[in-house]
Amino acid sequence: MEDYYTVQQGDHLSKIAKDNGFTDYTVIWDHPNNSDLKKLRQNPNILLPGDEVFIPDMEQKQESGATDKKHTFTVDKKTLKLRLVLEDIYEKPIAGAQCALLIDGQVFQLTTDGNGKLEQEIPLDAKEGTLTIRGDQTPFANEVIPIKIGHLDPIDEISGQVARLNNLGYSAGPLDGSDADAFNSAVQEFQCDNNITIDGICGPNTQSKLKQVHGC
Amino acid sequence: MPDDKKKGAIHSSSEGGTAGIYPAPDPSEFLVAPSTSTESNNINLNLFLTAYMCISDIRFKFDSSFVLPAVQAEMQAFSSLRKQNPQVMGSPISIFGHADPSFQGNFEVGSQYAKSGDDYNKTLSGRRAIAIYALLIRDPSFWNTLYTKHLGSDIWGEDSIRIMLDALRHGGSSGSGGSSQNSSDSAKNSRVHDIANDSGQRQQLFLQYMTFLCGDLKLDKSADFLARNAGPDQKGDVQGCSRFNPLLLFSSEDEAGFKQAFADKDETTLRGERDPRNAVNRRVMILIFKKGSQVLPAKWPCPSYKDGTAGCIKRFWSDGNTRRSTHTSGAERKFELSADTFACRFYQRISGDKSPCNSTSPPPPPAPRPCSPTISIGHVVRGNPYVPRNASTADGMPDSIPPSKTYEVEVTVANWTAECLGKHIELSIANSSSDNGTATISPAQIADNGTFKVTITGGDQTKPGNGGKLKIQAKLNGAVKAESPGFTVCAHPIDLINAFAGDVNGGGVGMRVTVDWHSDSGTFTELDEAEFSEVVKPGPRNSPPFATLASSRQVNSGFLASNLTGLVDTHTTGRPSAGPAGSNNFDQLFIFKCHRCGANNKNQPNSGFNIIHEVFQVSTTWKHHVTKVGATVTIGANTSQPGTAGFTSPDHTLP
Repeated sequence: MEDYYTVQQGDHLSKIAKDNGFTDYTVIWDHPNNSDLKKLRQNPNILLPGDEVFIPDMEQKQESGATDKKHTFTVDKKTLKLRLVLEDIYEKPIAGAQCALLIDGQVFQLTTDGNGKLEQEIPLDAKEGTLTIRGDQTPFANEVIPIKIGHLDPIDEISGQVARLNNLGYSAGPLDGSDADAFNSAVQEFQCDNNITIDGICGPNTQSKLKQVHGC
Repeated sequence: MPDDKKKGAIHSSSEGGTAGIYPAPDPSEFLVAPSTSTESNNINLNLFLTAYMCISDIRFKFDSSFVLPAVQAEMQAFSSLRKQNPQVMGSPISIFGHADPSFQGNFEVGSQYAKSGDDYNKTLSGRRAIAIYALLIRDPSFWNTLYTKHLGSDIWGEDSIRIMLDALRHGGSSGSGGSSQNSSDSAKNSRVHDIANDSGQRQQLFLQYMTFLCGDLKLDKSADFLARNAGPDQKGDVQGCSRFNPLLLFSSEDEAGFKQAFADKDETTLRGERDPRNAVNRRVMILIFKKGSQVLPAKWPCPSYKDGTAGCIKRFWSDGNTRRSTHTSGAERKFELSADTFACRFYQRISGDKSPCNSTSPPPPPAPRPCSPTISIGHVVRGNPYVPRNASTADGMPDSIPPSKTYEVEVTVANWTAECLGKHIELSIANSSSDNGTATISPAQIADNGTFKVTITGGDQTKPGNGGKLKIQAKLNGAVKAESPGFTVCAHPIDLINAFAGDVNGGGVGMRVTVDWHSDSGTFTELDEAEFSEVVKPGPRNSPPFATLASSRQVNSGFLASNLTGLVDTHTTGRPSAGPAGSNNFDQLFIFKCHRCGANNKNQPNSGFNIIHEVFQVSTTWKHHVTKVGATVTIGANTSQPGTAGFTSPDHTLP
């Protein structure tokens, strides 16, 4: 049955699709009823709680075929990946480090590449996990670091800016930006590190830089 | 209360500085987006503070980087902060010097003095920071550089030599030079002069003075600092923050008054009022980061302590110059209230808004934690036989020690905290008297955590009926903190030595033997309150030739005073028949009692024997003799190692 779904914190489109019986999120994302949302958010995995997503009827995407012929239905399964790039505070990659990524009860043993990057295909409805870095490259080695998948808000939201600054180690305070000094300090520090005008205001320029430096 | 928790725990606080633990940050969690395309999430793991040590201006002379003797207290505090907190010991540090905002008469940013004031204070704050760095790693060469490159009102020079010599001579009372005039002053001045002009002697003195200040605290520049000494000029390890991060800014009226005082050359106001009020701004901070943290000097925002201010200014808040300026009418501005007096955004971030070190008012003294160590004292274990050290417990033997002999006893001290510095635990023997006996203990003082072996030496013997009243006592400030179980001073008999004394060849046949023994105190007459008894147990007997024994039972001789001499024992048997060949065996050992300690029926060490009567034929004649040898013997509950014997009676012709 067709309906609009209201995005909750922690939702990403692959998860919404899976929850509604789709293996291919593009059926939803590319649906004309979602064109405004697609234009606004650009990235199907970075939605804002409250966003309305149109969920088309399952019937519509079923192929029709003559009843007297055999048909092979291929399931177009889009994979979902989690990519993390681990660096220390001074951007030195945490390279070649053994890591354990635990997602929804499943443990993936991974090793970061020379740039500190980890990549793992994850379940379409992955929600949360933990990361544990082994070895002695970081003082956080062997600590269990919580990862909340799908909780990153769009860059034009304060919560999205704070979360990215926090991920980058700038300690911007609570997600709602309520610690104005911490947020201001983090924005300025980020601007300073990236040679853009230092004014403490996370405007379009800074947002765009922040999105680029953060990686999404 | 959450706010208090954010401030962490103060470890120690004095006029010369504050040390404390910074609260652990809320656990990081990362909010990330999954990807159906190429995006990734960059995660940078942050640097954070675990503890801090602040050294106040009072540990320096005004406008000088020479470190005064009283900093010994802060070095001790830093050492104990490390020792008592596993998250601090071995964690890397970085040192930040801070100067006060006043320079000449004029602070105003943009004025003709502002730049030179920033530059001057950058150098001064860097010199104070490197002075502390050199002290912590005990490298006098940095001090030698400070010494030879004079700045401002430095007391590096003969004044500093005098202070160091005085400190080393007097164990660090004050460094003031105004001591009483006496005849040695000229000799002293000549020595000061010699050292002042000889780099080698100077560095030697610096090193002695550093050791005096630091005690056992010594850091490794390649391991204990944030940049691991990898940068040029200690970049990342030592910083001078100039006057950029004051904790206190005067009201604009006061500032105007001080400016006027400068114009009027009113030194009384400047030195007597402005500079003392500014003292809170002059400080050296030691920031201690999470264990394993390391920064790349090239990426570290702060310039080295030798560099100019450009790198600092780059890290200013966008309104940094406003923040550090005196601009409030009618009231001072304090960092702990408004958090807006630091110009350097980076320093404010890493030093922690809530740190008690970023406060003008001295932090509340640590919750009164009295020095209350936990002390436990072991037993004065009497070995049987006595061994000089570490006896293993003899079953059922009361705690005791022979006169003039020693035992080691373990004393364990825990929870010897910073509050205990300067105190010591006094060890003594309680209840010594002519009735209870006497003993001594060494060492008589302990002042640290750990398990220590103390030596107890027996003195006068305890009188019978007063056993177990002596105790090892540990006192702190005169109050008894722990006692050992009670013990006694007493000599015990050990060893049993027989020698052949004479033949017995009548109705019975056998021999007489002399009986001697020792005192474990080494003095035989000290056995006057011990008694001993032989215990004999018949063994296998061939009958004939030996008469049958009514019952095979253990025989005790009855107790005799252990200090008897000239005792003789007889080993005879009824005259056996002339054949057949056979033997009649006995086991023998000795037990003792001690009326002083109450030991009862304890085995006398090394007192076991076999006594063997034999009937044998020599050509056609039947003969008897008896042999006594030392042997390990068990009779009832007692087992004794071999005594000293090994001889045989003459042969007796049978019948």
